[in-house]
Amino acid sequence: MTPPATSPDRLRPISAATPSTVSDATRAAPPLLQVRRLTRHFGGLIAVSDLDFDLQRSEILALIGPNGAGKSTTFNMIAGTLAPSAGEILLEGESVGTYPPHRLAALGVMRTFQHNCLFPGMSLRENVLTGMHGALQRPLWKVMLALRAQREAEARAWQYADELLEFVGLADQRDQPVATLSFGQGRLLETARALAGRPKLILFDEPAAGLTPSECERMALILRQIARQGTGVLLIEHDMPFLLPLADQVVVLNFGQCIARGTADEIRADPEVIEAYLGSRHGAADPAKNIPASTGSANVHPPSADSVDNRPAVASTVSGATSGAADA
Amino acid sequence: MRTLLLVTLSVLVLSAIGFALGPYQTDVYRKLLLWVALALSYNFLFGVAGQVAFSHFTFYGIGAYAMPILLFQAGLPLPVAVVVALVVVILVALAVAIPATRLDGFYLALATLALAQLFIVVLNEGGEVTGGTGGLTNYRLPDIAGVALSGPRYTVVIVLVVVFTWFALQRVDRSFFGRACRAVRDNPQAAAAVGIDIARTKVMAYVLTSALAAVAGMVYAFVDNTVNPPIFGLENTFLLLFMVIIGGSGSLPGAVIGAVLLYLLPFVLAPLIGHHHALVFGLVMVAAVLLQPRGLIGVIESLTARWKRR
Ligand SMILES: Nc1ncnc2c1ncn2[C@@H]1O[C@H](COP(=O)(O)OP(=O)(O)O)[C@@H](O)[C@H]1O
Ligand SMILES: [Mg+2]
Repeated sequence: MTPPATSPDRLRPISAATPSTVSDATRAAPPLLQVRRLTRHFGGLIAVSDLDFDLQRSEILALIGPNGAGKSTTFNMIAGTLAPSAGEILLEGESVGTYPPHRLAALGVMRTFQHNCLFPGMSLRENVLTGMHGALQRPLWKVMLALRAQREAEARAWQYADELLEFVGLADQRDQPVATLSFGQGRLLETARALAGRPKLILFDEPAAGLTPSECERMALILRQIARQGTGVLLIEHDMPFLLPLADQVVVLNFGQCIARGTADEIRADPEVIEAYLGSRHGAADPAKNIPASTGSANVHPPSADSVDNRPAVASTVSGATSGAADA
Repeated sequence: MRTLLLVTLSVLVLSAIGFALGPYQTDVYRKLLLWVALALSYNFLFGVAGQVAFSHFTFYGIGAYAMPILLFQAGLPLPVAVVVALVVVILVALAVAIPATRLDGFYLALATLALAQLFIVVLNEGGEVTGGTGGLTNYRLPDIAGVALSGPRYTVVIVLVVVFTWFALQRVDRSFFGRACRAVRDNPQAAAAVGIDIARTKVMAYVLTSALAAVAGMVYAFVDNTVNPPIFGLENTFLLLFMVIIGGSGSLPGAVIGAVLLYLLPFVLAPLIGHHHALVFGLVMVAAVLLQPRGLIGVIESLTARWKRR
């Protein structure tokens, strides 16, 4: 697979804020996302209990933990599909815990689904265009009269959709119906659709699950690019070799509680985490062996003024990590 | 610019046909045009927005009855009557859609069936205002700026309404709103996640298409210069549903094909096989639905695709 053909410059419109405004804004503005004592019950079951974390702009935060730990529940509360039982979710300081999903999307919170959730009756491009709903919305009479401003906005949206499809590597299929896509391609299309909303915060539910190694590489590159352009990335992931080189911050859940939090390196070394999650999942005598060493993660963090040339190197590192997991 | 040319051309051609026809053919032609207008807007509601509603003919009826009532009983000038009628239609549509679209789609079907039945009862029991079972008769369109809009000139008015309906819906369908309607129809969860307000989208689609049906109804009021209850019953609503399904639901050209075919079929079949035409009609319907779920437009598209591949 070839790395994204687009240059970083052409990808700049993907984020809502340009890098310079990000650095200006972060000085004064509150963190992008603050989760405070977030709790959710299902009847007597406490799925998530008193969870706290912050996510900054340009940061990748991974939520990990064994099955049933409360990751999806947390995710759904932040995306607005599940109401918190207690606690607060603040987006740029605004309490958004009770907002419905469409309102959160309008505020810049976009998501992908664990099982692809596309619009089957539409072409790839139309799927991406739905992600721009908020930006294209206007009174219907203006649409009916086909005012010039309306036509121009639509034309710009088409162009942006094509750029995004190119970014995720699906440009040559943009007029095809969604039914022609593989699972991994569907996941990439969902990512393009989420990016179309120019999100401030983007949520990924197991982005690497079900992807081929080459699609995994591309996904890792995409996530890094998204973060580099100022968007906060929150992801749930099981695939440690995929995740650890990528995440700036890792939050480990077990039975709804946060049992550890820190950088990828700290988490890798935490005995409680190895016991509760990493060890039991991989079932190896020395679980740390399954986790790529920190030297690997140093390689995969390219400088922000990254050029197209060093991307194949990035890709091969990720690919090495992924195939390492397959061997173990 | 290209659209303007297309609009002008289609208005000219469709109007020219109107000038060429005799009185009987004119009547058939005008009603055909109105069926096309109704099928176009119902196609958007049923096919694009995916709402199973049985109130389309009710709004056509409200529009039709509103004209003689507002013009001759309330004594309003024509432009005011049109605006008042539209406001009434929008309020009724909102009153049905806001509660119904918050629930499951099944409740919209029930609520609109109830509305359709209620409307017929109101027409029959409406006394002086609706003229009861006999409806309203003996009125005619007042002259507009000293010009009597009758004969082929009135056919032009109908043509304008059909062409407006086509282009307005085409625009809407290709905009953010058409995509939002399809998104809500295909995958509400994903639609909400990209920022589409599901309830609002459903209500807007219902109100827009109902208002377009009412506009066709306002024009119909002066086609026969009489309005009476049986026209606006459920039988025609179901015929409209079949037009959309057979033509190809979700497709504007499909709606036109379906409307033309099903409206003209009895005229062709009746002289050949008499009353059995209803049976043939039913069989064609069943076959079409079973064999090609995408309707005739689906058949045409797969044929042209095959032809292109040659
Ligand atoms: N809708 C629900 N109703 C009842 N229990 C639920 C529901 N969703 C999740 N749970 C329970 O909450 C706990 C956390 O689930 P979840 O957030 O899906 O975990 P994870 O995504 O980490 O695997 C589990 O015990 C699960 O059974
Ligand atoms: Mg889960």
